[in-house]
Formats: sequence, structure tokens, C-alpha cells
Amino acid sequence: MVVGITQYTNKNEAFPLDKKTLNQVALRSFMVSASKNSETGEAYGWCHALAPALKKIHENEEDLALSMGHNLEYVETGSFFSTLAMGVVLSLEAQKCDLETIRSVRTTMNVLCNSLSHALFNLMILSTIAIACIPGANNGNVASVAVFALAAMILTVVLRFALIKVGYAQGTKIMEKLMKKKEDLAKASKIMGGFTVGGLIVLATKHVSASNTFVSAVQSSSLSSVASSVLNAVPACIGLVCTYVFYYLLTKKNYSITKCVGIVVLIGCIMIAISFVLGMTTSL
Amino acid sequence: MSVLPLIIVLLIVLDKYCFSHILQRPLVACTLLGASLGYLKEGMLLGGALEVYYIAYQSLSEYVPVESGFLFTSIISSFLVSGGVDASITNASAFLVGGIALEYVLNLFNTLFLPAVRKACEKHDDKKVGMMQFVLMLINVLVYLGVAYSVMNNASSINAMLSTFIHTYPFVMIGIMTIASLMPCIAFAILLRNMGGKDLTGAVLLGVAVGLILVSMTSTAVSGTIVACIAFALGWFNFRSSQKETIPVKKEESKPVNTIKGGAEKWW
Repeated sequence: MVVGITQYTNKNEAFPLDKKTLNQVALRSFMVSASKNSETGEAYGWCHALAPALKKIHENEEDLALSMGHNLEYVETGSFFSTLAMGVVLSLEAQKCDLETIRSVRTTMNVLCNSLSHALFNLMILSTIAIACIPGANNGNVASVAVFALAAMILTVVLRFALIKVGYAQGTKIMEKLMKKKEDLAKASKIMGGFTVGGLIVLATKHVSASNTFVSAVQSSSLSSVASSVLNAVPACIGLVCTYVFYYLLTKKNYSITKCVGIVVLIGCIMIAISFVLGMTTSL
Repeated sequence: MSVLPLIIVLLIVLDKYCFSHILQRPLVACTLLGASLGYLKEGMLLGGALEVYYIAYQSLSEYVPVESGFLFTSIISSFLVSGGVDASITNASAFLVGGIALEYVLNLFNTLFLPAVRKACEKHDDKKVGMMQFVLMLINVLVYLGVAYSVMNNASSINAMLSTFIHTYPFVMIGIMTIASLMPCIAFAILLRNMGGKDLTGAVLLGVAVGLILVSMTSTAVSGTIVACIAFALGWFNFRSSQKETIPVKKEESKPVNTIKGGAEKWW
């Protein structure tokens, strides 16, 4: 079975998920980042968290396998808003949307939730609480540290259980309206997914270490600001080229994923050799 | 030798993997470890200092495992705190790089299990997926515990060894980071293939261009939020415009045209 090319055989809308199942998904979502991997991010945890709900949605065994398979693709949701994305994806699964639509919405929701989690909580709320608590900690006040830890823990638990219901309810509400125009929806979501993957390539490969070292080495020589900003695009270009090379190998040359992983490891070894010869240092 | 600090490390790492991710913040981790080692005040001072670094490094944290780096730094620095807070902070940057490298290595190790998890999914066996996830988590926790145990026993020699390794062999770190940064490209290629990537080149390139502009202007977290919002807007705009194209135009009832012989229309 090739995940992604096949579509669901049973296209009938599933029964709405009950509160108990949604809570079970929220509970499992705590372990989403337990086994993060380099290739698909938090996909193991994501797939495991959604499994109880997917089992209720897909009665057909092949559909269930397909659904679990495509939910094992790249996922990175962050710690605060992950259940919001899960709720939306489950609403799409229950409506038996096209796989391209689910995939695109899932990827975009993931970027949104991960970025919001960092921008809103890690950079703003938690950092503000931490800055308020640091003077207390410096004076030996244990209570300030306890307040900081408790506030964050309560926020995590409340958000996880509340957001899955919001995501599922709102997602279902919107999708019920949009499902009447299935073909247009699939086309629009494909464009949305493509755009998000483009953005993700830039964000995820921003720190390709070797190219960053090269960039900082070149920038240290006198360069105009325009040339410097053009050089900043080097890591993203490497990521884009690599993505399309792997896309070509996977689709045209029928390479397996393991072979592609081998190629990346080989590139890493070549980078070690080059940086050893040139005497590069890490930019971190 | 006290077991309490190891239990605290276990709690902190378990919280990182399956709860709130908050005990790993330097302020909390150093306070807890300092208290367990009998240096509460020093631990809190160290935690406060590292927390400020942590906040400063937050802009990197979305796609570089800075959090894990700081967890590693907090653990090692807390065990070294008996030698003074300043001495612990001095080598924090070396520990940070070491922690990030350790997280990358663990992530690469976890990738090895991907084919097995894919097979389990094909058999819709979520128990096996959960089991593998648990085993991987256990291995990762044991690695952190092992590091904590060895640092507890030989704090100063490990400190010296780590600093020497990072300064003498930086190219190893470059290789590990390159592999870890390029690995998601395979996942993106799979996503594109499954989305029907042929027609999506324009959208992908537009995404790259917008991403590049945003990243040069602001942090990755804010850029990611804006990219996702633009993606939703783009999808919605496309959906609405294709709706307009497909709305059936009401055909006006054709009025009888008065014609004269020869087919010409009466102009009056």
C-alpha cells in the first residue's frame, strides 16, 4: 500500500466523536514529543495520540491503516496548541475528506500551532512570568519558582483538554459547509499545503550548520548589506534543492526512504570532511 | 552517594517527554537540583542566570532543540555548582552545544525506528506504535540519567573533557547539525509527493520567498505564524475565486426579437 496515492474506500461521514474519545486523545497528546525523530518530527506521538479516534472514525480496516499511515508524515506541533490541530484533523477525518485536503490542512495547522505556541507562550507569557520570578529567585524565594512552574503546568493541562473540543467542534462546523464544494476545496487546500511546505523548508533548514558557517565567514569580509541578505538565503536554497532532489528520487527513480536517509548521512560525512580540511567552527 | 538528585533528574526528563515541558526550564531545573544537592540558594542563582540566557535563545528554539540544550546545561551546571555559581556559568555555552548535539544524536537514533512504526501503522496496530514510543522514550531518559550519573561522579573531569572535545573537534558538530537539518527535507519531499507535487511548484516557491522575507525580518516563531495565516488566506482566496467561476449564471429569458425580412433587427 502506498500511502497518499490511495483514497478512502468508505466515504460516508462518520458518527461524531464522543467526549470520552476526545479526552483520551488529549491525554495521549501529552506524549507527542516523547520520541521525536529527525525525519518526521513528532509523528510517532501524533499517530499514537489520534489512534483511538481514528479507530472509531474508520470502520474499514484498510481505511484505518491508510489513515494511520498518512498521519505518520511530518508533524511538529509544539507543546501548547497541539490538541487544536488534532481536533481540526479529526473533524476532517470524520468528514472523510480527500487525503490531499487533510494533509494540507494538517501541515498548515501544525505550523500555525507550533509557531503560536512559541510566539505566544514561550516568548511572551512564560518569559514574562519568568522575568517577574527571577528577582525573587535571586533573593532565595522558592515560592516565586513554584508559582512559575505551577502556572505553566496548569496552562498546559487546561489548554490541551479545552482546545481539542474547540478544534473538533469548529472544524466540523466549517467542514460541513465546505464539503458541498469538495473539488474546489481540494484544489484550494493543495495550494495552501504547497505554500506551507515552502515556508517550512525555510524555517526548518534555517540552521543548516555548514552553510551558516560559510555565510558568517563570507559576511565577516566587507560586503554590502544587499549581498549579505542574499547570502542569508543560502541555507533555504540548500533545503529547497534537497527537497526537490529527494522528490525526484522518490517519484521518478523509485528510491526508498532508507536510501534517501543514507544520502543525507553521506552529505553529513562529506561536510565533516570539508569542515575538517577548511578548519571551520560551528556558528552556534 | 545520594540517589535524590538522580530521582529529580528522572522527574525533570519525564516531564520533558510526557508532561508540561516546564520542569526543564533552567529556573525550575536548577532550583530542584540545587535543593536536592543541598545548595538551594546557589541553584536558584544559577537557574535565574541561565533562564535569562534561555529567554535570549528562545528565538532559535522552534527548529533547533535549544530546550534540550538548556536541560543538559542545567543538569551539568547544577552538579558543578558546589565549585561556585560563576564557575558553572562560565562553561554554559559548551554544555549548550553538547546538549544540542546529544538531542540531535537521540533524534537520529529515533529515526531508525520509523520503518518499524510504518509497518505497525499498516497493520493498524496502535499498541505497537505506543510500545515503540515508550521504548524510545525510556532509552532517551536512560541516556540523560546516564549522563547525570557520570557527571555526578566525575563532574570536573567531564566538564574539562566536554569543553576540550567541542573546541578541538567542532567539525563533528557541523556534520551532526547538517544531517539533522537536512533530514526533514525527506519528509517534505514525501509530503509533496503525496499532495501531488507536480502542480505545486509555484506555491512552494512562493512559500519559500515569503518565508525568506519574513525570517530576515523577524523570529522563526512569528514568521511561522504569519506563513500559516497567509497559507490559510491563500487557500480561502483560491476557494472563493473558484466558487465565483463555477456559480451558474442565470440565463435571461431571451426576448423575442422583432426582425424584418432579411434578418435585420428593427432599430426603433
